[in-house]
Amino acid sequence: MKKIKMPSAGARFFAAVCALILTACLTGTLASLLGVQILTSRDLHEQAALADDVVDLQMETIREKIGGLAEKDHFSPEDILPLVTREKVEQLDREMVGWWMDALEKGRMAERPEFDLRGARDALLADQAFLSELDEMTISITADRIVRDAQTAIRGSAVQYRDTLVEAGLKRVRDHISLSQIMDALKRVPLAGAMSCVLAAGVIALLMSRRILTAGQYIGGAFAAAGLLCILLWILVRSLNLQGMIAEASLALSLQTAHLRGRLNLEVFGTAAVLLLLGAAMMVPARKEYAKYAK
Amino acid sequence: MWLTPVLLALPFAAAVGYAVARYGGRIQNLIQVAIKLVVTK
Repeated sequence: MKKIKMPSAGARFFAAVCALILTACLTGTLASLLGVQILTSRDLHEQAALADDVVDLQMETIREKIGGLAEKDHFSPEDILPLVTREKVEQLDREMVGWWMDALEKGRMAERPEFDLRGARDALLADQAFLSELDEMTISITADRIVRDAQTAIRGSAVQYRDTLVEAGLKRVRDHISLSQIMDALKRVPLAGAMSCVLAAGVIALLMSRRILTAGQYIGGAFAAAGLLCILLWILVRSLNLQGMIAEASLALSLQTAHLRGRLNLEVFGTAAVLLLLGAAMMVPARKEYAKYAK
Repeated sequence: MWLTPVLLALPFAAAVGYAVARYGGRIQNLIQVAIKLVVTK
């Protein structure tokens, strides 16, 4: 067997330093990719908002709230509830996701979506029980108020966060800095991370000179280490128990968080598994090259 | 050879572990406050 010279101690030391940098860059790139996906993927948030159990809970909340309004203002819930179909509620959910994604991504503050309750006013004005409780002067004003209250209740079931507060916060931020520029810069972070990874891996390959399989030991090691770190960081995020904390304030939002986490679970563990496998695939051939080194 | 990934991940895991032990409680409190502020019943 042809013997080749072992890389010098200095080359191995610098390769180890570069492998540490590569590990950090790879983990950072993956974390930033995940962050960008959470901030920009409409599909991800729509799936969470339109999950069957989330919409079921929403419909139940709407029925309860309209029932409460009906009891207070002496009208039949059936004046309004037939207008609140599952399809329309899902449409509102979609529009709300679009509204805040637009606000975040493009810095554009469009009008907040409203639930379409056309016909509710006429149904109320035809409700004898409702009419008998009011004098002619207040009928119209009360009907308008009920429709507004019902719209607010329905929107509240679709948006379990204070949208007015979020809107005010976004406007405040937008007054000082351009949100779209920040989002554009954020989207470039994974690319910058990937370029740093290529650079670090290139330096390792150069340091190992013609012993390219040994370079695989360091590069593969960094890939597998990044996979291990991804799993560790994800477990840490899960241990924060965000879902439990949100559940104390809103069950529907906590359900959405669970769906979001479920989908990201697959991506994080899948990516970690790919990194571990790639790492192993690069490290195995290094053993053969090690055997050729002159003792 | 198989220890390489563990050795490479170890310094970062130790740094994260330290940060969690030192600031984990505060981060959790901050998140709790933010949730209470933004999420509606």
